[in-house]
Amino acid sequence: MKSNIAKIKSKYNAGMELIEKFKFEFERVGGVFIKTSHKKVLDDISNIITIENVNQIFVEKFENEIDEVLKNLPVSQIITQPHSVEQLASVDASITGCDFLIAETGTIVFTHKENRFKSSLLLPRIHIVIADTKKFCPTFEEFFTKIDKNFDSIFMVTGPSRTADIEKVIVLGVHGPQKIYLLLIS
Amino acid sequence: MNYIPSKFRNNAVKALLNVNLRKNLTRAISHTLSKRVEVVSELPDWENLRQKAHEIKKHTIENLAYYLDLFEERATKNGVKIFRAKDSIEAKNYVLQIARKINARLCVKSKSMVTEEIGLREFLEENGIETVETDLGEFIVQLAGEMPSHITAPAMHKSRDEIGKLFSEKLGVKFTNEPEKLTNIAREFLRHKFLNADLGISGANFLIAETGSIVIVENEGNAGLSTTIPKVHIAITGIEKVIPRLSDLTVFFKILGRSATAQRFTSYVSIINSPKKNKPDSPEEIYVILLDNGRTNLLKSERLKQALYCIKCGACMLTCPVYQRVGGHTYGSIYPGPIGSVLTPAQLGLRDALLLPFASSLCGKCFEICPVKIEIHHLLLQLRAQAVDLGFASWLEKLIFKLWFIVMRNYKLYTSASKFLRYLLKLGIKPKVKSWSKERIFPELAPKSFKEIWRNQKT
Repeated sequence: MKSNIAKIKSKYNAGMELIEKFKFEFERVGGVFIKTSHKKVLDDISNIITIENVNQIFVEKFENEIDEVLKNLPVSQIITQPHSVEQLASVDASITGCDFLIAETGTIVFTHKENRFKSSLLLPRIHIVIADTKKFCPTFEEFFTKIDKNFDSIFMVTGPSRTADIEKVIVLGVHGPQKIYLLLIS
Repeated sequence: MNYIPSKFRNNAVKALLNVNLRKNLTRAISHTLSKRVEVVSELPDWENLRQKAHEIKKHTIENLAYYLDLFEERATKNGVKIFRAKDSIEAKNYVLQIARKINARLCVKSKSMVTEEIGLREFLEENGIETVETDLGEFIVQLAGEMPSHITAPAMHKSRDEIGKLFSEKLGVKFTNEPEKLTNIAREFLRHKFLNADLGISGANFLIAETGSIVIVENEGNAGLSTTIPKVHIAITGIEKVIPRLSDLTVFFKILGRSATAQRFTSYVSIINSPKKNKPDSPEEIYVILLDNGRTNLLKSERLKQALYCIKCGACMLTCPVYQRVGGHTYGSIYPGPIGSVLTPAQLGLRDALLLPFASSLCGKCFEICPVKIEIHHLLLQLRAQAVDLGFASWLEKLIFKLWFIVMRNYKLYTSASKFLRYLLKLGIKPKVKSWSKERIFPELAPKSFKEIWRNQKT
């Protein structure tokens, strides 16, 4: 165990690049990190859909060219305007954007806004987040100076939902997603 | 077992003889403590962080009225309704009043020690409102009809077999002892509750004065759902949870997860400012209940008010040699362990919790591990002194200590007393103290005192 700690420390000292640091922390808490591009993003998500056996999916509005790309997902149903929470609870996966990526802890930050359903971040088994490199922020110190304090609510996600309430055995996917993917478009 | 503080001694004896309980406790505690060492040693400035956290809390508690007013003003501006409750009765009645107003039938609760403190779940159920704990550990103890045995790991006193049996009995499912399957059973059962609940109740880890925010830290996602799906959200929290600025969270983010569950950071943090405006799914109304319930009693004492710095991580319990052996239920109080033995007398009055400050070896490990540097062992000592003032000590004990005090301050008396004691032992006379001697053998004294040996060597 000791050697493990030493390794982590030396990585800190090396001044890891923001993206690498985020990836390291995000993977350490069980997230799946995928580097992709505008061209490749549809293929990457299609892969996830096959691996995870996704039939119904919720897709958040991105207000950019990604909206068009995601219309071609190979699933039986794409929901963009859920009429109820029950409907969000019935999908297998959700695809959403995010607002910040905090490198020091591998945390994805979501602010609650007009076209963002907070329950879409929690109810489906699989959560796929699409982000670009502008979202990175090294530390929480910097994050709290950056944000506009007039937000309605903020939700921070660090890895999948987890518990260790039964004999300290870690189980993923208690009430929230069992798996979380981050697709970084660069 | 009778779970009240005055039964501590009886309960402790029973717990010590319960082999299963000791096995479950040892497994959970040693696991968390060893992981904690790993995640704490990664931060070279840990001591600095503790000091910073201590100072933020100290500053806030010294100016508590100011920050509570500021929080109330900002939160009200955000559209959140604030209620200050003097005691548990006021808090419970206020919740019931809201529940009645919205005609609530089903309430989902996320983990909150304050709601345990006031007995909210039982109260709502008595009033015909189905109330379900949604944190897995809390759900387990609710099904078992017990109370949490640790403030962040409520079911750590139970083994997987015991939980499997409980689920098959209470939920009518096929027996399994696999944690993954058991978790899934709870997920299915509780998912249905989330989707149909009219009221969500949570605690709060922090309240931010400058923004009027409610901050909830968790791992399972149940707090996120409890505060999102139901139409009304009520957060109930102690008045000591307020901190000045949003950026103060950076310190607490680093220490809380590491201290509570030996995690670098918890899976989820909700920072809630306002009810539904343009958001598609969010409660239409949010209430915050600021509970006193004895906390201002602590404010009156220069020393004891430190107990209000507590961020309820539960690390002092895990490291306490007493707690490690007897578990949380033995204390008979909502908050067990070292910090619980300070908080409980403040709530119930020292008379009703007289034994708790004595349920400690005063070794100070609780202070060493405390992420906000509360000198718990000193606080316990002060409470012991207060207990003696209340007449806790018998005349015999007082007499013995008076004699000891006289002997210790007089060199000649001390030397002859120690010679006399050695002489008694030589004659085979050993002191007998009824409950002490029953479990222990009186240690042999060295044939010569240190002073004698020293003197002989010199000459």
